[in-house]
Amino acid sequence: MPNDNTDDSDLVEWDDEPAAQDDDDSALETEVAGFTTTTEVAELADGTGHVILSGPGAGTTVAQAPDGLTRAEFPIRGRDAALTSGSPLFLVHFPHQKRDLMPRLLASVVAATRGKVSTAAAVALPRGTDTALTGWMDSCPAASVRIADPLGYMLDPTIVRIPETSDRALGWRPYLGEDTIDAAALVDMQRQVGANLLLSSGRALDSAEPQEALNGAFSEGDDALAALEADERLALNLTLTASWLSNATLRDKLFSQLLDQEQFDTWHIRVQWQSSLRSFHQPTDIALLAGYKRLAQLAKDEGRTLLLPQTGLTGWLQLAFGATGYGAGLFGSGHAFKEHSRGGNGAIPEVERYFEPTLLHIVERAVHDAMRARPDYVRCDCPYCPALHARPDWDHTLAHLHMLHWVGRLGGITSPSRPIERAIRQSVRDAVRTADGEPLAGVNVPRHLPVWDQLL
Amino acid sequence: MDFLGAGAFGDTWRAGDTAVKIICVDGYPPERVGREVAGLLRVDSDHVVKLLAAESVTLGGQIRPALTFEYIDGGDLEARFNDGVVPTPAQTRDLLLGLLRGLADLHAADGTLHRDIKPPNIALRDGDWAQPVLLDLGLARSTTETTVTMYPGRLGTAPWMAPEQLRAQPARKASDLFGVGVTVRTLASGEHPFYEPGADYTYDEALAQVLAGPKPLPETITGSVRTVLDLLVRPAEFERGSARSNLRRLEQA
Repeated sequence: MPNDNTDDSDLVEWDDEPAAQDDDDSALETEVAGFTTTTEVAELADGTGHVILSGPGAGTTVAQAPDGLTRAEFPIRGRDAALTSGSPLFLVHFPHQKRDLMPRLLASVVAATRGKVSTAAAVALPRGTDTALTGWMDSCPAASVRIADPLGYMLDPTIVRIPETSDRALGWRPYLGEDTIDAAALVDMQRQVGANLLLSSGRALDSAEPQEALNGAFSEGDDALAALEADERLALNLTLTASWLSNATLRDKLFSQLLDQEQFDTWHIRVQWQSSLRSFHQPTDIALLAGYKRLAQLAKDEGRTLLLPQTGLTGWLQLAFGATGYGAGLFGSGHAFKEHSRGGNGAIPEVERYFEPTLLHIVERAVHDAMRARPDYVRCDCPYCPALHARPDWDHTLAHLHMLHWVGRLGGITSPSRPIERAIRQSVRDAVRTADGEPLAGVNVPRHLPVWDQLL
Repeated sequence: MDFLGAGAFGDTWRAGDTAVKIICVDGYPPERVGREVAGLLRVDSDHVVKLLAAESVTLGGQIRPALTFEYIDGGDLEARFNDGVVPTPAQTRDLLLGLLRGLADLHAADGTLHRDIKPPNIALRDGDWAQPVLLDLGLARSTTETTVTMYPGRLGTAPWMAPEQLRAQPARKASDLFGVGVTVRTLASGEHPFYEPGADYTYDEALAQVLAGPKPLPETITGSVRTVLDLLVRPAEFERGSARSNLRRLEQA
């Protein structure tokens, strides 16, 4: 199998040019489907059809559920229910490769959580043509929410560390070359590609001019609100450097004014993490994490919907405190919005790694093999592991799909007697105990767990 | 016409069932009056005084804005405080609920702020603690007081200011919530939560007093009322929450 991603270089993950679809995608899809036996369908909330949740064709729709199929006891939630029901919303970011594998992935999360987790398909306007983005979102019927993020922060390379905007992205989205953004036009672009949750631009907030930055973001948000049509919804879209959450003065200013702006009932907030963070690892900066926690608590206290794109497991943790949505993707950039680093050459072979659900961490394959060899090891029942472990060689894509499935699935660990905060606390404490019992070293040590335990 | 009182920007007179406030300050920006009036006309709340008309009168050859409000018969909280009246815990809860409902309605009306919540600006309709009504709203954005002083018999504006207002930063909804918190705590305990009677504080000293935290509430104030009254006087604006979230805390308890 080709190495389609690098280990700690995220260069390829910043790519704004979707690669041509690999023929292997359909072969892989067929291979995964071959390991599933049960076909289950769930009805779409609007009653227009059913989504196949498992088995052949998982992630696609059928108008009528064929006889003999298992019908799920839950529907695919509509947008508003997904945003306001209090259940987690798992945002899956449009991958630059392997995008045809995502519809099954979304359905698998809904199925594994018995509908407790809703999903969102999230594209970025500068990452593709209207046709490509619309086509992908249309191919994800299990997604209750569809987002087309304008990535306005690409206009702010002096605030967030990002690569230079490509000519192709500028061609697709000319607003990235303009000084000001027409909020109404931006909302319309999102409509054109089929988004059902619209966003303000997402310009980055300059911590050196905090009040000016906030005023600008709220003003843009107000303009976008004014451009909404009946039944449309908008999320205030903010891009922040980590200091906005870790610095008490900035945090207080941000939170006070978010609270004051009652017209925005949904917050879509992206925070840039340091470049040195390894792919698929979690930040351990306690000030940053405490800021996230307080933000999530504020959202919960005030009845706002907080969506945290590109946060992976760190975003999942925030569900315990009051966040509604967290985002991840097939590659590292989906799990973290990190500072762009000019290091690396994109040609480093990817390390064979596996996400261990019981550790809430990704470990090297040798560690996974040792754990899996034990008689008491609970084998993963995700749709991807049978194919992954049946192969003689390691398939990075299947390993990534397994991880992405689990990051979403973990949002559904609640039960009537165990609400999300307790469920996550228990899950983290169990993982701490598991880690304590394993001879882990180096990158295999889940260093984030003690920090999370402290926050919980 | 009976004279009701003098405020920072004008005098208020009673005329039958109405109270007429005449803005007497030279140069009071007419656009500010217009903006505030537009906001107030959108408020429909039992706990916010109703603006009935916005007109102008000529006084001494000068045209002055004149705002006509409903007249609330029942006395204000300043008079009760000066008379040494302390509400029971149940009356304290009623007062807090009513004020938060008024604020929630006010803030929902296009983000209108009061900016000057204090005992003399709160009347009790029919003398009922459960029917507080916010008066004199939206006009006073600043104070001419140079120190923070709890004068006997006159409660001023500065003692009710939130930390951000003491720092000369713009008032926000959270500033109104702070005013409600300080006002209700003062009534419930019979003393100001931050300042000693008759003492003079510079604004910096007043800020230090506020940041040091309030005097404890009477032990009879318990449960969600105590929780909300503690939240409302937090120095960080966001920690005070919104009127709606504090109402939820009270109503769900």
